Formats: sequence, C-alpha cells, structure tokens
Amino acid sequence: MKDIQSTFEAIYIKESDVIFRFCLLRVSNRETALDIVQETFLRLWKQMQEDKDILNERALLFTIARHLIIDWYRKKKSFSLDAMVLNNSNNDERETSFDILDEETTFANLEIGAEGRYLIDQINKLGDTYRESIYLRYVEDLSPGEIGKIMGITPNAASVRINRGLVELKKIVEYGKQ
Amino acid sequence: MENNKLKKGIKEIKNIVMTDVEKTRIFENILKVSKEKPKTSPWFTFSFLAMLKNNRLVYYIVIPLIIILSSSGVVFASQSSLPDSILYPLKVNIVEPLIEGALTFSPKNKAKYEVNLATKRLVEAEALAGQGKLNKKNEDKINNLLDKHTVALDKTLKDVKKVDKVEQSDKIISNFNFEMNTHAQKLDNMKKNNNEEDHQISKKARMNAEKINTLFKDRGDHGFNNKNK
Repeated sequence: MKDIQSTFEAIYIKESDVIFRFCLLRVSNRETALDIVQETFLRLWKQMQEDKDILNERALLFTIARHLIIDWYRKKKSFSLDAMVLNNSNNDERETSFDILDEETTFANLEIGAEGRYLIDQINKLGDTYRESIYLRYVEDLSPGEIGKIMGITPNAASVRINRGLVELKKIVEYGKQ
Repeated sequence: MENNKLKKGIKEIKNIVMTDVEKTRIFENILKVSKEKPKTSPWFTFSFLAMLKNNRLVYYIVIPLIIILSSSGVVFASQSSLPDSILYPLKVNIVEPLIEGALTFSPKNKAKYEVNLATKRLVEAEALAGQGKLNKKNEDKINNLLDKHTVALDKTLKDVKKVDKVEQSDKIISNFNFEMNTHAQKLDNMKKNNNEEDHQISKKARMNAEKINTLFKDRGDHGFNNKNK
C-alpha cells in the first residue's frame, strides 16, 4: 500500500500542474478547475489501488480530465437552458453562456505575460477539432500517440490534426498581423 | 509567429500552476476520501429485492428455480413420511402415482410397482406399530390404501396376461402373496409381544393376497394357492 501511495504521490507532483492548466483553460474558473483536478487524481488513485495496469498515466489523466470537463459543460449548458426558459431577469449573462474564457479568472488572477495571453487567444480561435491537439502538442509536449489515446483517435489522425491545426494557427496569426 | 515569441508564450502558459496550499489540500482530500469505506445502506435488502423485482430475469429463471427446488425438497421429505405425517397425503396421492408411477411403462413393471406400494404400506404399519402409533385412524388409512393397491394390481395383471407370458403374472402374484403374508406375520408378532388384539391390517393383507389368488384361479394350475396362512 505504501508503495502505491509513493508512486501516486510522484505522479501527482509531476502531473498535477499540467492537468490543472489544461482544466483551467477549458473551464475558465479556478475553483471548478481545482475540483476537476481532484476528481481526476482520485479516479487514478482508485485504479492504482485496484491494481489495474496503467500503461501511460499522463494520457489516462488527460482522458479522465477531458471527460469530466465535457460533463461539466453539459451540466452548465442544461442549467443555461433552464435559466432561459424561466426568463429570469436577474440572470447574469455569464451563467447562461459557456465556453468563453472568463478574463477575470483566467488572466487577472494569474501571473501570465502578454505573449502567453496572446498565444492562448490565438489557440482559442482555432476550431474544436484542432484547438486541443495544438495545445497538447506544443504547450504540454505530448506525442501524437498520446494525443490520439486521449482524444480516442489513431496516432496518424492525431498527427494530421496537429499539422492542419498548425497551418490554421499560422493563418490566424498572419491575419492578426494584417 | 516567430519561434522565440512562441517559446516565450508557451513558457508563460506553463507558469499557470496551483499554489502549494491548493496542491496539498487536494492531495490530502484524495487520500482522505479513499480511506473512507462506503457504508452499507440499511436499505440494501430492499434494494436487492427491488433489483430482483425490476429485472425480468427473475420471472423467467429465478422464480421457476425456487419453485422447483422447494418442490423437490418437499417431495424428498414426503418419501419417508408415515400415515400420521402431514406430508403423507402428498406422498400417496401425488408422489407415488404421478411421479414415481409415471416412470413405469410396461404392464409388468406397473404390476410390480403396485406390489411394492402394497408392501410399503405394511412397512409403514410396522413402523407405526413400533412407535406405538398404530391407532384405528392410521389402520383405516393403510387398509384403504391396501385395497386401492390390490385393485390396481388386479387390473394391471390382466394387462400383463395379455402382453407377457403367463409365468410373468404368476411370479408377480407369488411375490405379492409372499410380501403380504410375511409382513402380516411380522405385524402379528409385534402384537403378540404386546398382548394386544389382532391388527386389522394383517388381516387385510392376508385377505388381499387371497383375493388376488382367487381372481386368477381360473387359469388353473398357473394359479397359486395361499399356503402361508
């Protein structure tokens, strides 16, 4: 048991910030990102306790975090639809919209420079298909194989997305410069 | 986008990290949650029953299985029951004729089966006599059954005569005589030891043996006389 805990602790120290970053840039709320990080590592911990074979912890963590983020979006979306149906006049616009970076949370409370902010802006302008693969490849240094496992596609398909995403990103940057 | 700016941008993004307090809090929460064992709900029994109820499998497999198993248990228990037992009617009215009797096909085997049943009644009478429970009520029960088996034997022997050789029916009659008289004697011996009146059952047994003999006397030297009175 102690061995498993030591191993888990080592994985946690290495990957917790990576997963936190990934979650925060997707959900735009620090507390929500922390909750998702906790749940992600809790599920990893349970799998380790059950002696399940884990080939790639990082890929597994990203996969779990991704699913939790999707679930969070679905709940937020259903809440938004309910609020619209009830026609609440005090409804804060932020509560009915989603998938929009909250500048106050993301940038104001974090120490991030101009270049970092700019890069995030440009990546977010990419379509859903490319955004994640570009982020995972160039920011978190994951291989196409790992990205494929996380997104449920083949390594080849992941490579194609990365390359096309890069082309799109260059276009966006060029357009911005103009 | 220039490479240096890209690298700088990536480096700045990687500065987005949790605070030490947040990291420690989450780690401790994870270990704490995993140590708490889930409590068994007090409603577990009901939820299990609810699960059974909501699952169609119950109706097709589990319930028939329960019926078969419990029926088998009751049938098994009834086989050793005596006339004073609550399971005795089940034994003589259902198990013997419908279950065990259904397994005999040829007239010869059916006749042998009736002989066995008649013998069984006398064995039950001996068991009751040994326990001191052979009262009038139990005697009447056994006597009625003896009559029933004798009638059935007579009927079956006619079929045996039609299908098999005469020697077959003679063997069966001889065996019936032997069993009836032997067990009648045994019952009388038990009575004599206790200085009681004659058991009606032993008289009935001898009488039925004689009846079978008489019914088949028409076959001349193939019939048997009751020599064991």
